[in-house]
Amino acid sequence: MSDFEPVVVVFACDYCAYTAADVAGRMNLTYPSGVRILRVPCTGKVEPLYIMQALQKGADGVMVAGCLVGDCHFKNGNLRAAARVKRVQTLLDDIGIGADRVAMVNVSAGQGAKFAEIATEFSKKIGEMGPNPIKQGAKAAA
Amino acid sequence: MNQENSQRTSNSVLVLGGGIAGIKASYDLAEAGRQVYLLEKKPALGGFLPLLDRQFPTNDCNICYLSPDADKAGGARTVQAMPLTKLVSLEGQAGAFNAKVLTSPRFINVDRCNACGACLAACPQGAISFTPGLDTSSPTCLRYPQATPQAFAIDMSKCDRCGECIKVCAPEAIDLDQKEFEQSLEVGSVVLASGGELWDPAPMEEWYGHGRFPDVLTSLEFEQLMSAAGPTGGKFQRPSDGRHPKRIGWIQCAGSRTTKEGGNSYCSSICCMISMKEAIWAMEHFEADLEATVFFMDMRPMGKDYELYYQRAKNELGVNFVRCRPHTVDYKEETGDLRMSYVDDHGSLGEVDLDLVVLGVGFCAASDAQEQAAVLGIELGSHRFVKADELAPVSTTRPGVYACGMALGPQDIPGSLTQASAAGCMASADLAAPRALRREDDLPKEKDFSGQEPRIGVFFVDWGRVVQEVVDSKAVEEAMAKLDGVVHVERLELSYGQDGLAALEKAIGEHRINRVVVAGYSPRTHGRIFAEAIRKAGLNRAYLEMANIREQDALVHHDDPKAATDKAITLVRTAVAGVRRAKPTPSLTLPFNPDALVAGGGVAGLSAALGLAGQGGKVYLVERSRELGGLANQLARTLDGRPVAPELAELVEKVKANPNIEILTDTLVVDHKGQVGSFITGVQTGPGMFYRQINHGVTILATGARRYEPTEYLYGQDPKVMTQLEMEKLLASGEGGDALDTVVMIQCVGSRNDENPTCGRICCRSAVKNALWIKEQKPEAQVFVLYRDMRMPFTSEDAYRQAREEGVLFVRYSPDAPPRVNKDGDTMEVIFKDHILDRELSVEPSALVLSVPQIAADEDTEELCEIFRLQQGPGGFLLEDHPKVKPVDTPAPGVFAAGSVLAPASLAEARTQGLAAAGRALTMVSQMSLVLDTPVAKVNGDRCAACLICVRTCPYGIPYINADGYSEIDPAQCLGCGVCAAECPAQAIQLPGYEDDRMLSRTEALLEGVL
Repeated sequence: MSDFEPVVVVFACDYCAYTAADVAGRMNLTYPSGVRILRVPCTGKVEPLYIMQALQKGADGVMVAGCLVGDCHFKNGNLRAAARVKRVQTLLDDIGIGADRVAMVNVSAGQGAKFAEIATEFSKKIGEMGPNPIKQGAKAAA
Repeated sequence: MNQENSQRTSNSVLVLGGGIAGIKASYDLAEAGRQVYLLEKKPALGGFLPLLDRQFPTNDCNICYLSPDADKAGGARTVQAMPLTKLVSLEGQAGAFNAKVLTSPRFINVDRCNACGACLAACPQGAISFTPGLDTSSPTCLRYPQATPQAFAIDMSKCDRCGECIKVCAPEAIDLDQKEFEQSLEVGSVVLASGGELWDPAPMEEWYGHGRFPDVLTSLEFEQLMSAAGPTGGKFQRPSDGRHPKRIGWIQCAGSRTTKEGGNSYCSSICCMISMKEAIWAMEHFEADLEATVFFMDMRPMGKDYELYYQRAKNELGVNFVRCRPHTVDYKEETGDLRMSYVDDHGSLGEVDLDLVVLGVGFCAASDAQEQAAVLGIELGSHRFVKADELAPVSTTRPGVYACGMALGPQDIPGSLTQASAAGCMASADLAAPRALRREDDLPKEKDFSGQEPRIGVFFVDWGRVVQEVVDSKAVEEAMAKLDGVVHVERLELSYGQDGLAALEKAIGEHRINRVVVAGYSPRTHGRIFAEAIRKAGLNRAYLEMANIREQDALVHHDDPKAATDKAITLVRTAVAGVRRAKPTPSLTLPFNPDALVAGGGVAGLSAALGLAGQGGKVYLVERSRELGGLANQLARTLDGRPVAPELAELVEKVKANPNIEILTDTLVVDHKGQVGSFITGVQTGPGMFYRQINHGVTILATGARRYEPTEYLYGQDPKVMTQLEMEKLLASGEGGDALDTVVMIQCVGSRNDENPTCGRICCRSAVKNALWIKEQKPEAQVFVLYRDMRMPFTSEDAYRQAREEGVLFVRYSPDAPPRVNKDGDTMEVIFKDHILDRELSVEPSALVLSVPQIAADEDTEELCEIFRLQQGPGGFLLEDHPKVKPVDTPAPGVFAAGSVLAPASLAEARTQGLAAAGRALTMVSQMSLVLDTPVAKVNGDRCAACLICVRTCPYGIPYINADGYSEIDPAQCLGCGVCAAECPAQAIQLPGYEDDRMLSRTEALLEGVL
């Protein structure tokens, strides 16, 4: 599995994580290119369905990236997101995909380096877990 | 500012100088509804900025972050750029000036010229010039020409009228008989932004060898050498023999901080950052095995968070730093190397061989500064820069004439822009009351595309070299053209500002495009600009989606072009998929409340309040304590040594006397809601802490910082140990000076360490100020200043020199071996190591003074951020919208910040930032109405079961169950977070732009080909 490059979908909130990703770029930091970012106004907008759909479409991992706890631009959207991620994780364990493929992370707008670090670490972790089992299923079906 | 002036009838301002400061002042004023004449002596606008390939601390080229601002809100229409034009005379007074201006002939008709460059190639005498760019043979670096896109001009002193250029000019633009012409302009005020010049190393050729050895370059020449548009076409070769340089040395303070003839005594303030930027850039982009060394006396990265940049360069990126006094540069014939000799930290001579030497040259006043000052009738201060005071930092000696940028002294871009906004604010106060603007009225009617198939236009914005080097743009363009619904793919030159956006508008019309994808920048920085552009073309602003292939692709995957190209395709495909399902968002017009809330009654807040008062509505100035004046109340002397109290008292008096300002002392801000144009802020005021709500349209935060309370060096345990502020108080009292036989000052207490990695910025200057004051009171006193780097920008360097001449001893210490304090009974000794003597010294001081920084008022700033939904930066200070180009804006529209809430600030900086924030706020206050088109949650009443989940989950309590029995959300109040939409079990609520089907389309496109 050494040449496996995981695809990670990041739902990044506009105010913190998305901005942090921009800052990471401007700082010329790197993280794996399999990390692909979708912008949301607040992680509170990320529905469990979005996470499940990303996995269903073949993402090896999903990160929901919001503001630091207590710092949400919309007061508590990130806490709601964290609770939803927990629910999704339980579900993923139940269906054998594994809770660890999904994570809630928190970065502030200025933390470009932290964003790059988190993206790299998560990607590495998913790399060690191997591909999303749904992919094999899809291949077998084809 | 001339509030009493009865002649405030003019609506026009004359701005002199088309560099970054002049452009910023012009566009701020234009956005506020003012007419601006922007004069530039050269054939094109731009100043220094276009000569730089990229800028610190983001190390990218920020031109494209600034130039689109120019097009914003139609402001451009009221700026008349006048290149090749200079001021001849200025008669009259503030509010009613008559300016005579003279325009030189360009000999090229700018309306016809299409900047093809044929004339340049054809001219045998080299008489055709192109600005900007050092290299006149390279029109490809026509990078910032939006004001005068046809920036070619003919120099008649070289032209012999051979007519070759006329023959090759297809549009018949050349007119060799053009004449100069004079005109007279009526203006209310003047902003001087004529800039400075790079120091010319010729007088010090003997030392530095610049001019003698081709491989000794100035920093600007080095920048050109590295630029794709430069003389070597981006190939990294040294000028003498084309060899690839492997050892590059930057010599700091070339021509600065010197008393040698031909040099300048002051510190140029920004060269440390410029050299670090060049070193980092060279290491990143050219050579892994490059040895980049900066030879310096003191590193002075003085701007906000610049210290972190320095630490990163040193500790992470591998730039070498050698502390020394550079002596001479010689050439070694046999090896072709340059040999630089220097005196190192211990006083011994060192030598090093280098392939290339870059001189970190400073800046000096414009060569025609005196002439210009005479025309304007203003005085110059030291070193021929414009004279300004600590508490009137952008005012000149003539009322109605203001200054900003390098005309005032060496300046980085954020500093220049802040001064420009401040000068704009002052200049605006001399004009008639602003006319209200109605922007939406000027726009074409929105086209109705309902029922029509998507016709998507994909526009690639010129990505700059950073992106082009990495992403194969052709491959991306080809992939996009194949996508379903894409009818047009085009590349836009955004650095052309209005031209690039005009091309976008034109293409929308020509190809009947009804959906737009812009690939290039982050939607966070450029979304608004493109939304306005498509709106101008008759499209609803929601028909736009951006693919961030710069910040979130090319810049991160710069080491893997293939992956970056693939990802670019993925990201653009995702944007196409999203925009395909876009629906128009109706816009909502609300009245704009011109009143302002200023939080904080220190110098920054007082300045902001005064800047706004009388130019819009009412100003509510809220101060937590009983007194106005803030930290400045504790200061006795300004950094330039003048008494603070009288000027501060005058400022406070002006605020108190202003009928447009309501002062609320003893008042706390407790909540804040609404949006720009209609904020509602709750305060608790007075001894009874009564709750009161204030309605206002804009907000300025100037709540300051607090002083670090040291725990080091027996502070609080021994009365002899004090802070600089306490020492200042002692000196001001006039008592106690006599007892000061030996004073030891320790710098960087509580800063530049693990807990607080940032630099306190003004503590060095405070130390020198107090050291000089001690010497003034008791010349025989012995004063030691134990420091790490003395950070004395601009003319404070002169004070530093004076202190040394008066016998103040400056001893450097290393952070590994900081000074120690021992106390035995009543005796206290300070032990420190002297680097030159290389041994420990012990002193028994009569006072030990700790230089402590202003630090972010932790809980307060945190609370402030919570209330106003803002963010804190690395040092805990408030995070601005963009560190380079929007230094006093915050990411929240209509909320601005000033003073030490942003970073430790001197009085001059606090005052400038306060005025700048006011100037920025004026660009909004002038609007009569506010058009809201940000996405707000929409309820489908038919699906709503009135389950109350949205009512309970909304963080602001906005949804309610209406008379018809379903949930209703007031679009004027909704902030668009989407939480209700996510929680609604019936999916009755959707957030435009993020509807469930649209999110799914994006996810699918993002993962296409993965399964």
